[in-house]
Amino acid sequence: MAIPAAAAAAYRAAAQMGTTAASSAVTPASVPGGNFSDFLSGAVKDSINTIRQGEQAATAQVSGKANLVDVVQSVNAAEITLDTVVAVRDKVVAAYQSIMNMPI
Amino acid sequence: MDFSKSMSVAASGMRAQTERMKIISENIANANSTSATKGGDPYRRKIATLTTDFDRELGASLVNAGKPLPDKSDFRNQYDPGNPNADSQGYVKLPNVDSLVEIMDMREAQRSYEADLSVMDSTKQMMAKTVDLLNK
Repeated sequence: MAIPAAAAAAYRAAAQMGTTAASSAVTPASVPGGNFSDFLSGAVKDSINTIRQGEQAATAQVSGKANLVDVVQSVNAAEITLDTVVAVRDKVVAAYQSIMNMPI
Repeated sequence: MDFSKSMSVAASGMRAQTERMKIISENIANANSTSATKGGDPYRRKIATLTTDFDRELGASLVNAGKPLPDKSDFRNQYDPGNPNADSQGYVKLPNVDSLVEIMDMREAQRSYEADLSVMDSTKQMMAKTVDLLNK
């Protein structure tokens, strides 16, 4: 009976130690320029806009309203943006997996 | 992004050359158009103009096709008394279009367009290579 209680107490202490250490040592939210998730969501919103512009240009071209050069430019920008987003996503997933596979 | 700027500049050049090509094709197509009225002037050759416009939003100088200007040179006179548009001496006024000059202009427009295409291609390659760095 005493062993699970002691284990729970030790676990609680370890968890609190983690939070106090995190809040005192590293504070990502207070870094000037916002935190990483803000940056990421902003970048993703921008890229969604760029990709949407590319789609609109392609639609306008099909209906014969757009200049071919503009379509090529927009679709190119959308393509590069998508490549960038995919590359960043791969990096983030790889980082997550390497943390998850870390032997504890 | 700076790459999208160079893309926009190249695209403006391509658009301007497209407009220039339109004027050249008008000249070539109308090389033998006579006047609709007797004794009137035939088609007058147009000269394509290109202007530089600084785009403040983009921070780059773009090329734009300006208003086409009329070529002031004299019309060709051809002796053709049977033509209903001939004047009292039997001469018909033909446009001041020289197909050799037009073909040279056309080649130049084509080469400029290709140069802009190469700029776009190189820019895209540079962007793609930079993004590739993320994949390593």
